[in-house]
Amino acid sequence: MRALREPRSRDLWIAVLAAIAGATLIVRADIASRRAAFQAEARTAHRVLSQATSRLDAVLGTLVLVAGPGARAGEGDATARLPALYPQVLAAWRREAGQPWSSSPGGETVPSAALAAAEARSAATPAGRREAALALVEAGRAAYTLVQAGSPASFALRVDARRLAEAEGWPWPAGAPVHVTLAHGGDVIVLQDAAASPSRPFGLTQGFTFTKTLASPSQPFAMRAQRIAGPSEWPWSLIAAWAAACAAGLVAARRWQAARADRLRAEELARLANTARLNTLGELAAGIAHELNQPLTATLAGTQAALRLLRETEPADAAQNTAGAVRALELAGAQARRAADVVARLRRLLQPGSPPTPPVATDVAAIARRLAALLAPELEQRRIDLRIEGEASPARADPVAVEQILHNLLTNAMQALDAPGSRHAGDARDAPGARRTPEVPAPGASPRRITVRLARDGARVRCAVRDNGPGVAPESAARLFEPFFSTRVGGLGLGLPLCQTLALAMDGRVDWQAPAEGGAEFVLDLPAAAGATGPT
Amino acid sequence: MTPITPLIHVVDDDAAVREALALLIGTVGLRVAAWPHPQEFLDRFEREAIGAIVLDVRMPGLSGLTVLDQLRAAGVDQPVIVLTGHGTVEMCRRAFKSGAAEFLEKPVDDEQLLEAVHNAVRAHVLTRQRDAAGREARERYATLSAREREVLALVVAGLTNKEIGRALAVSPRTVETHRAHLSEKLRVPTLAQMIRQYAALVDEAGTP
Repeated sequence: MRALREPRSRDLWIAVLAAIAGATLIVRADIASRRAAFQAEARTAHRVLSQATSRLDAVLGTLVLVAGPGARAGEGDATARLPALYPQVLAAWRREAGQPWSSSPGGETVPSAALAAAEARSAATPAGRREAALALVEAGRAAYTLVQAGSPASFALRVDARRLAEAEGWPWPAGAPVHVTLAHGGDVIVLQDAAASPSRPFGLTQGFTFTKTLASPSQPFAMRAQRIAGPSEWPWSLIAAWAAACAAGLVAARRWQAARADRLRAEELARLANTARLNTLGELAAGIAHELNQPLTATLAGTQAALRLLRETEPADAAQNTAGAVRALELAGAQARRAADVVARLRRLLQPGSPPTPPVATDVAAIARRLAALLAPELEQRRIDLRIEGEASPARADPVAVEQILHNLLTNAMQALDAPGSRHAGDARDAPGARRTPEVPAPGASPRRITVRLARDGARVRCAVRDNGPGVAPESAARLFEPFFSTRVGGLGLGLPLCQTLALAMDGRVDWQAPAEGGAEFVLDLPAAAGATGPT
Repeated sequence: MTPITPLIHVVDDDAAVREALALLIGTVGLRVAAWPHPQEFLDRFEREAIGAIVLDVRMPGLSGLTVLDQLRAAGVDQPVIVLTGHGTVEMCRRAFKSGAAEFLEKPVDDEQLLEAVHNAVRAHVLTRQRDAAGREARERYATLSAREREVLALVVAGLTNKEIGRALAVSPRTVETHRAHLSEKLRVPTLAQMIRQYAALVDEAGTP
């Protein structure tokens, strides 16, 4: 869990940082593109205003020209008609040489002093390229007055600056978040007001600005445009999409990590299982090698000992040597049979698919007695007392299998009794074969005894094999019937599993129990033969 | 009974193997003691006898390699021949590291086993002789006086009587007398024997 938490918080941080960095890039790119658009718009606005102011210069020039020599006074006062023709012209005035400025039709007061000063400035410009001059800037009315000196008449125009911005091509509609002003000296005319937006939203920036003086010598206004920009205009939907993508990436990365952890765990488990299997196989191979090598070693040593004895040429020892050779050859023969037994057992175990023999009425007691007779020499050598108690009606079973099972159970019991005291406590009862002969029976120990008890219980026949050995250790009890389980060094761990397999094939089973007085008891439970009514 | 007939111990839990190996080793006139339980063997075998131990690796209770370690820890000097039915390189390495004289695989050939047993017995006899000689030399060395030990140290260092006399501030004639006593007490008639048998002891005692 701890190992997992670290990368988890780390990938969260990575996702958050990616979201922030991505959002920053998006905002910067958006601002750059909007700034470029604004600059283009502002240049357009500047051009529009420059053209509009130039047009006023042209109007004044025309008025002066028309009023020139050859023109008749009273042929029509152009100044009266001008406001109707040019909406941006609020009023137009005319002054004949030597006379005061005429009053306009709108009845506006004529700012005579300002006009006179401007007229003087206009008159100072070269006669061929006479230029108009600014007379008055009225910020409150967003108007200014322009004068051009002429002969015989000078003219003046009062211009509504806001109307200049209504010319065709003006980039910003009314209500756009753009603040546009014209400044001259200390006077500032507001052409377009974006007061609805704060000039410095969140105290961040004043948005985009553009300042340039109009290209009109007579009206050198500094045009200043400010585009109000702020977080409200950021591409929030794009940012949100990016953040969502980061979150999705985080989820995907975590899923992938979890999947990878699962896969690694699965691979580790598979590897462990494989190792365990190989270990089991290795154990099995070592077990088989031991089970076969023991009799082979004895056989080889026995035959070679016999050869050596028989080759002795000393006549005095001839009888003794012959006896020794006979003993050695007997031993070798018995051990060769033992090796063959191991091979046969392995084959039986490894070929479970052999067709089952049909069960017949089998006299279990007779088989037990036959085995007792077969094993008598070994029992005697080990000083084990074998008793067969009770009788049972025939069981429905395969006699060969029953014999195999009882043989295994009896040799198990003998091996258990071989074990002196606690050293062999928990010795696995194992397949027959690795027989041991204690040289010295434990002195003072209770008599070594195996009891085979036969009984009929309803439709079942039971054959219990009990020994008074050290019994089965509790930790081994659960695994008694597990293949390849053996606490006996060199044990294959196949004897009891084989017994169980054989019993199950006959609708029977083998059980283990610990008798109250110690030792161990294995019970072969088989179905009784049909038609049998009870103990005979 | 002649105590010189070597005694071979066969330790194997398998009765048949034990008996067959005992028979085989017996054919060359060696005495054999067969032991089914390794613990019993460790507790009861005769340590002073000349002989060797043939040890199975795979046994219930104590494994052969454990028995080998315990034998070495107890200072047993009989050579040990390790027998195994399923030897691995690792097991072989462990056996030799623990002082095994030989490592043989079951089933073992008679020539191989008997040769190993013979070699082991020969090696054991040699060890015992060397030990005995060393013990005797030590006892004789203990009878020397301090001055005689000084003289002996200088003799085995290769000094002449004159040089020894100068070193110990005595006359060469006195040195001659000491050397005669040394020869007598240590029972070495020649200078060469004296040097061979006692040089190590002198080094052990430290030069004066």
